Amino acid sequence: MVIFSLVLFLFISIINLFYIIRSNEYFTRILSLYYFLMNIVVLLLFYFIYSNKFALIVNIIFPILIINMAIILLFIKNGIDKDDSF
Amino acid sequence: MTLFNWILFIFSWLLFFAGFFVTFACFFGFVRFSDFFVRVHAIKISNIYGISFILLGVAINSRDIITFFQLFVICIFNILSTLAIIHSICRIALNANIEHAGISRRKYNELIAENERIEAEKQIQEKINQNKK
Repeated sequence: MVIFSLVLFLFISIINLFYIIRSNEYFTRILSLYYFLMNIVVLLLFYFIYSNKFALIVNIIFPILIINMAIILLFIKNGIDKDDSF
Repeated sequence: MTLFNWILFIFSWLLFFAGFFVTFACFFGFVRFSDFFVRVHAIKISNIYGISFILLGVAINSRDIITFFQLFVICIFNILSTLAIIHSICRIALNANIEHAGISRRKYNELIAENERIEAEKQIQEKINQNKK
């Protein structure tokens, strides 16, 4: 179960990385970034479960989840401040 | 294995397959759709239902109360953060006049205003015709 999830999220993360690099639209890039970060977080989570490192879930996954949210909100805010078209 | 364990086992695999299917389908939706807001919808469904179902499936299958509780909290936090971020992205995209189904918000408001003006003109014309009679 965990290995299937690892493969799925790894696949989605790699494709999303290409989207972040190649996309021209600002909002699509931000959306891809969020999707990528969320999948990376879940990928890490499943890796910790797979390798029986359960203590690292609390130490690493919870802060990363909060940082993920903060990063996206900061990106949005900076993008708005810099772009005059808004 | 007891009957209860079998039920938990089957239920966890069902949840896992549901989550796997939803995540995979939404990922293809994200890649294939051209409209920004439809893509947002695909990502929202993928994060809220797909990842949550997979997490719950793994949590039930782990049979450890601490792991179950950790994964459950992550699942709840994932849902809440997804809702907050998707809401903020969508609101800002709407204000930035990103097109949805070929129509931006500004264009939509103009069309509505135009429609209201035409309706008002029709009503005025009807009143004038009634007064003439």
